[in-house]
Amino acid sequence: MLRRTALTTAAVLGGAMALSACESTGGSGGKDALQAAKDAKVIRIGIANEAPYGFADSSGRTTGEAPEVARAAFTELGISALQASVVPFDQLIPALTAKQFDVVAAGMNITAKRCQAADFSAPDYSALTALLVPKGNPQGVLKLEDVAAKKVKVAVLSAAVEKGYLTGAGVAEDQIQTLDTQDNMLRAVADGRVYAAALTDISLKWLVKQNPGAAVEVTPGFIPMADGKPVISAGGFVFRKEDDTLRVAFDAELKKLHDSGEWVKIASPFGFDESNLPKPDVTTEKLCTA
Amino acid sequence: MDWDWDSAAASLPLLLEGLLVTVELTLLGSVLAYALGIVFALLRRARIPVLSPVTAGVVEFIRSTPLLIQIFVLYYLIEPAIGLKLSGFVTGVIALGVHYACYTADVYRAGIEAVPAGQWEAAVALNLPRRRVWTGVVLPQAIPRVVPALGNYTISMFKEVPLLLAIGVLDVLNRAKQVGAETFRVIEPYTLAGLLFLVVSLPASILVRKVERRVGQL
Amino acid sequence: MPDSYGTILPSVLQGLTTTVSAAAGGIALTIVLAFAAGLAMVSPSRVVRVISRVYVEVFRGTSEVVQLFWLYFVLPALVGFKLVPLFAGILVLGLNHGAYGAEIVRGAVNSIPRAQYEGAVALNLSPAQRMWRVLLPQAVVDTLPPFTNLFIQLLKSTALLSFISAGDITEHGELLRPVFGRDIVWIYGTELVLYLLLALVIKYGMRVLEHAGARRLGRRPARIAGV
Repeated sequence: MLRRTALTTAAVLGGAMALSACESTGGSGGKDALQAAKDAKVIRIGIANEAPYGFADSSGRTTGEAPEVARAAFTELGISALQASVVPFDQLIPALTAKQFDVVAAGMNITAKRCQAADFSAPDYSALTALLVPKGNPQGVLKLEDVAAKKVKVAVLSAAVEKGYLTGAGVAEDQIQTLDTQDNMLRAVADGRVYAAALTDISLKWLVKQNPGAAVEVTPGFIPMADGKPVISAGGFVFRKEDDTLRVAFDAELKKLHDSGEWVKIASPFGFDESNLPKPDVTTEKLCTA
Repeated sequence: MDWDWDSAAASLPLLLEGLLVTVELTLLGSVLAYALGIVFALLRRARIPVLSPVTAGVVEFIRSTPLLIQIFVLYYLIEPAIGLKLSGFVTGVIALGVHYACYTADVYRAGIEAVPAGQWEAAVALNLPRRRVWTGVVLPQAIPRVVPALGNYTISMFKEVPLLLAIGVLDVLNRAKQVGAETFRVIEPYTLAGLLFLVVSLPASILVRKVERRVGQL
Repeated sequence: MPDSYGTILPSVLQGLTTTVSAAAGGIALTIVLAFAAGLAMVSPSRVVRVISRVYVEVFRGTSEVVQLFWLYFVLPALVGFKLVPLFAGILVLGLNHGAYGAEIVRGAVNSIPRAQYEGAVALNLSPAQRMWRVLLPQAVVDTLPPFTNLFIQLLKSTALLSFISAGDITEHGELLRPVFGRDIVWIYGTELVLYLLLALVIKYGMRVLEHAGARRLGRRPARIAGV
């Protein structure tokens, strides 16, 4: 008797758990993503907890250049709230494709390879590349070519563009260490495990600001070279290929923010200024076919 | 099914490189675990006033807490604190070796205790010096009996090496992750990684079972 | 204790629910799979034996981390269903440790004295009654000590859930590291103590079960099976 009750209870609980364990990957249930977000008055975004592009501040509020710009743009579309999911940087596009959220708001560079997997918004910002080095920069490493020449170890963020820039500048594969988070990169330089870490100058300056005790400094920003030509780069927001209405509506609002000067106001607390506005001739199509 | 053979073939060289790293880590870690395990086992048995109970406590502590956290503690806490800039690989060997030494210590203990009391008594009756009792009589009987158990721990260690991807070690799983991040195709690299594990661990398990049967006949 | 501990402790404790849920769910699934597969391996039907043997060898022969990544990243790409991180974790914990548990169960069933089996046959009990009323209760009590170790292994494996953003203790600690870099020793120290306490809970819980089981079977607590 006792055994039978135990078994039935187990079966019922097990069944209930099994049902709640799955989420179908069609988060919006077949509805158009823009419409679904408008109805729910919430837009689901993906961030990588990388300051200052997209992260949670000490009060837990989602902030950073990309989420704040997204907030402003989506509010104009009638969607006032953001719901952020934090995933490692290299999982942002896979998670987007798996419909865990509808927009990547993490300051992602527009590259041809990424364009194959997803669609980018119009360029949102452009930033220079820089290197994080020990204070005083004893080896005098200022550019990617110096890293190759001095044969020092350098850290990059997993799935970020800097690895390509480094190999393009002649840095050997075994000099490059791929790490998962910006903080691990800082730690690697501060602990002496690598000599330098390559990321955008905005990210690195923010990292140094947040870690005043660390014996590191940021080199002046530069534009990396590939095949003798400067690399044109810009970052933006990422959408699934099928969500054209969402992307087009967002692009319209983004353009308004850029043109009106609102963008600079929103982004300046995070270290951006007018020099980071994308140049007019830099378009998503060009970057995707580069 | 969405399997792309070209993608799979393209990722294989990198995965095999990772497998090599995994095997290297396993072998080095095992050597450390086997050696350190004897030290731990003997320290506990020797009943030295402070050292023995402390060793026993530390061994229990390491056995009861996650290896992943021990790796983090070694890499982010201990090494910077004492000024060591060891690579993820070396840190991994140490972490795996120390963690598994806590298991092998127990294996050695059981092996030593399985040596019949008569052996000990005979050795004493023959007036053998302490060192000789151990090296000539006890250990040669204790160790062969526990080789299968040691072998099984090596296989377990092999399967825990992927934890080291948390500190950037390029083992087979990390390579699969890299391939996935760069090509946006996850099915092939991760499935191949799983198969590579089977390819190594199944023959190894069969080997250990064979040794077990042989040793059982001793 | 540094001032930051006021933030560190609650943050790390936030992971406690996930870790405990994962451990509890994993243990439950392990028990189910261990007995299902363990009994299947001694079944008279060859097909059933082979299927369970394959399950056990595959899950014991591959790395738990790889299994976790495969289930969490590859499965959605194959079938379009994404498992919530906690449940993906419970599934892997259960499948992996269930395979080891199956061996324990098989060993326990095989070590029951032949006389018990023969007595049940002599009393004209059906195979099902034989298993359910005579062999299994004794086997279960024999599995308790090795299962204690297995469950503590499972608890330690819940730390792997930090790889798939499930929100366990380890992950919360790692999220704190960028912010409280100076107090790393307190972050990891707290995590380790929490795991240790949870391991003790499992140990004592199992010991209570062992004593209850021994009493019900009318014999003293079982020997520890195997080295």
